Amino acid sequence: MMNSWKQVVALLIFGGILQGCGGTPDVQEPADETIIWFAEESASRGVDFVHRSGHVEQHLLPEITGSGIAVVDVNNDGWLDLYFVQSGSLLGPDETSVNSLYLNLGNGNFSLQSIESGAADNGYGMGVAAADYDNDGDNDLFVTNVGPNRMFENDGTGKFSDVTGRAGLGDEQWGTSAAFLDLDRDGDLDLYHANYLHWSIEIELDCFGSGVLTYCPPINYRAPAIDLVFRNDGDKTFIDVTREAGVHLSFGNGFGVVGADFDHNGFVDVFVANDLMVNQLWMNQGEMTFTDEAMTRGSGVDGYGVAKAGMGVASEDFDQDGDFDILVVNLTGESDSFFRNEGTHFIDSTSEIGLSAPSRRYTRFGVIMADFDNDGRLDLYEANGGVSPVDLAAADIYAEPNTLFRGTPDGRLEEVDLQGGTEFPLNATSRGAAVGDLDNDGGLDLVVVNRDARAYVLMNRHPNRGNWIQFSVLNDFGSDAVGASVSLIRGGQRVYGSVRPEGSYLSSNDPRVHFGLGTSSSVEDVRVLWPSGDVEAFGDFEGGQTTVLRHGTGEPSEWTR
Amino acid sequence: MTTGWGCFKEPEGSEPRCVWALIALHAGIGLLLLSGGCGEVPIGIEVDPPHVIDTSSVNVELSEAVASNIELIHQNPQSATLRGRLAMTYEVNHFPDAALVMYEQASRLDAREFAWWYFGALIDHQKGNFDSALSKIGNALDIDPGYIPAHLHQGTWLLDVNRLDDAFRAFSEAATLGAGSPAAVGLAQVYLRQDDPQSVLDVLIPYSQSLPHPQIWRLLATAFGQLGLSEEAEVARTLGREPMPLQWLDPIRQRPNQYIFGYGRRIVYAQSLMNANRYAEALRILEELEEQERDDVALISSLAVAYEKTQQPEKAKEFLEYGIEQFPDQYRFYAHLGDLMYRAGHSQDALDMLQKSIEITELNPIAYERLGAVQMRLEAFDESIEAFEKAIEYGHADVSNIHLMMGTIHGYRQQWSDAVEDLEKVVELDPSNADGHLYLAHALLESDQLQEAEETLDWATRVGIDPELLESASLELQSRTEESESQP
Repeated sequence: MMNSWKQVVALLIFGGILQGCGGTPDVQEPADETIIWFAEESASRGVDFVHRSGHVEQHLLPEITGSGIAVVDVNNDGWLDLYFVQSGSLLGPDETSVNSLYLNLGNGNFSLQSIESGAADNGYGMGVAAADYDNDGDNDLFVTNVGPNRMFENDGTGKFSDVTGRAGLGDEQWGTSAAFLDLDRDGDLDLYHANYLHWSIEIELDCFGSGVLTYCPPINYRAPAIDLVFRNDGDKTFIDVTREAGVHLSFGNGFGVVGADFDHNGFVDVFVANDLMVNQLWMNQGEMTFTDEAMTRGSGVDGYGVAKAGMGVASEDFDQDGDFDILVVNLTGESDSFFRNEGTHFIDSTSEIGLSAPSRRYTRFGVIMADFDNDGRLDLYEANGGVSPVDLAAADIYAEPNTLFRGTPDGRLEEVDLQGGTEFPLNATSRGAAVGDLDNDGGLDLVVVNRDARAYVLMNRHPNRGNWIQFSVLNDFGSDAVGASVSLIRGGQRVYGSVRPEGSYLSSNDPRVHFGLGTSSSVEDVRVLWPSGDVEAFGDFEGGQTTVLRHGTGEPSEWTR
Repeated sequence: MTTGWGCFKEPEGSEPRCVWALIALHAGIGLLLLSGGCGEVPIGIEVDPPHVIDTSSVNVELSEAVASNIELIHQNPQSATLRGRLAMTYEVNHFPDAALVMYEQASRLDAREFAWWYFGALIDHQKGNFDSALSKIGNALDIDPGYIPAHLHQGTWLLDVNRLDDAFRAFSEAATLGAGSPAAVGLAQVYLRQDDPQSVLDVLIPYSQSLPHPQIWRLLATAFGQLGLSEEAEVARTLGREPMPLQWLDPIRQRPNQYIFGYGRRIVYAQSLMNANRYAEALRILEELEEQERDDVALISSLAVAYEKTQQPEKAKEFLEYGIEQFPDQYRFYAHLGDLMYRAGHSQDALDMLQKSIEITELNPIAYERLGAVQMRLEAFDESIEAFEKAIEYGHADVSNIHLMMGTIHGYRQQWSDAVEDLEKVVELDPSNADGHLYLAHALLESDQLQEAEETLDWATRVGIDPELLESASLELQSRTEESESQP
């Protein structure tokens, strides 16, 4: 073998290494050219949030990345509220650019509570995660910034106090998407948050796109950042366990984050969509340790071996086979990547579900996979907008229309006839997007943040929506049981959903678990797989309602796939 | 192994050759067609006026070229060549919609010209217009059925729209023409979609030895998995973990690049050439740009890289020194100059430059990594480890290699548990790193972890360790094992 380590060192120095280092209808339904799925009602519903990138002259990378939105009930009145993350200015403090909370008035209309909410952070805002971190029965907010992140604790009425220091969550890097997940299965929510890259104005670069100066791709900075993992110790404090967890061992320009138990070992794994770098799939080994298995499990690059510009991510059981698949959205010219979970690994099945061709027209950020028409099949909404100029003559040179795909009976997605599902195409530089039933009518609505423009509130107006059922899945503390899975029989077939607020891009979704039922009036044998591993059966339910499933109130049962 | 970008050695049993010689021949024909306007219909076809867009806000050079070309088209409205040239100008200067219109006009006037159909198809594909893309590439292949890259594109696009039988035909045609591994990979992807993993093995295993490209291993891993061969699948996944797509050369596709106008766009083009290891071509462009504008950070930086890669380190050094003089706050110049000096053996000068770079900004993983290497050479091992740790902290892309260097230092100092820790990270991050496994095995032996050393060597065998090194390592393991067993 090697006689001397001196020889090895010499080899390294003078040799090579240092030199460079379910129950779905079985008949095809014709697409209806005239169907309006959503109506943009921000103005009439009292939502006047306008994102500010702070762009003046020099192109500073964070300005193009936009910000996120949390769709979450902050005052426990059963109605979803809206928390918008504001960016602001990278050139100095901007007291007027603060995050904004809009309280739902109990009818899907909103009232702005900004400074008085206590959560009006004025950092250069990026993303938000919403969940009950202290198990006191209300939703708290974690905000990522370019600069110190913020943790806001809810007093139960929608009033927040800044507990960043005590919680130990004020990392000062460029944070992006975040997720509260019970990674160690100890009953409280830990935190994973992606960091994009090591950035400061001093390292900013000049890049050209369409012949004009514009924002640079992240790889030009050659400074991808480590994501961070924090263990919740149950006393309102977190410990940074990134190194102990092994998460410091791989890097990426992280944007989208989603958690799920992809390999059914009982522990939540974490998938990170990286921008122009290999995605990460942190497989949870238990005891809060992870290994990045994205490449060996087939979700690091696409089927052709390309590391795409990963932005937002969604994870749902698209093929309803009992495990969670992953959809990553990417840059214009690159298709989406749909990684179908095969149990032990993933297979890029983007073309099989019909997305290879139509998805590549625009640059996508926010991504929602949900059943908008309640026909029992998942649809897909993508919030789009360029990162280099799209139309130099336009008022917003990065603007692109959003897109909506409907799920078809043969397990594919096809674009709806009215682009984006609205009467007229909406054109903006869209970024964060979140889903939730804002008016509690059983139809899933959307909220989209637009760079340097007013946000969209897209109310579901599909005229032929099917029946539905929605579950509030609550733990022993009365909080949403993040990470719990729900299965039920619909039309003779077992289908699956989960309590998963994280996902999309920089955003947090309605934690309630929604199922479209098509023409079915009821569901059977509802079961919950709790984060602890317990399974409970809750029986049958009539559709058309939001029902509470509370831990400990069902019958012990088995989880079936 | 690749012998350049997409130029592959063929599997055993066939004549080793570069299939792209064929393509070069086609490129030559394409050149003739493009330059001569050969095959144009002189009169009689009605065609719209040229699509005019305002490029004045982009740059004067482009604007003048477009205006001049449009004027010529007005004078020669039946010239497909002129319309095609305008299309190429629009395309490479980022006006794809206008380019598409002009390629279609050129194709109408000269339906026998391969390039107009082909270029139009490629834009349609990028925009997601697959029906149109497939129709146009079909027209192009009717004209020149021997152009391999077009068959490969056609096959890939047909796969994307799930037309498996048609994709199979396209890849088969490419294979018949001598495309080699790219066609085999395409065929394998069709077989996988058809749930026929055995055929994947049949078509790819011959290439897995002669062209151990990670994309081939990834496809093999899936096929092994579907056949229930889990151990083979695991090894194949390991060997396929490098995130590298399989690419192929497409000489005709390079032709529009001559119409890139504007300083910024040409720099970007030169950088893209450098990314494809085409440094001499990039240097020619950069030297032209230098005559226009010498005091530009991107240009100086690119010139220094191009000179270095074309074996002109003195010129690279000269430009970096000039850059530092003009832009004393540009930390990249110091880091690059430090690297050059390190390579030239001037360790102390390298150290000074790298430290200056880090003084300007701490967010400097590349400078820290180089600093670690310099300190390692100077046998300042504590400082070296510290610098390597900073490089990791600030996001260096090659963490595995840094741990390899750190593990080696620990080994040199006989700090075996630290060496094991670092080398375990190497193989965790890159299980296909045979050197990492070998060094780890040695460190484990030194730590008396014989069982672990044996397992590590076993894995090294599977991922392709050098046979001589393996033999000597095995002998050492055997000797240590016997020694251990003989002790009471």
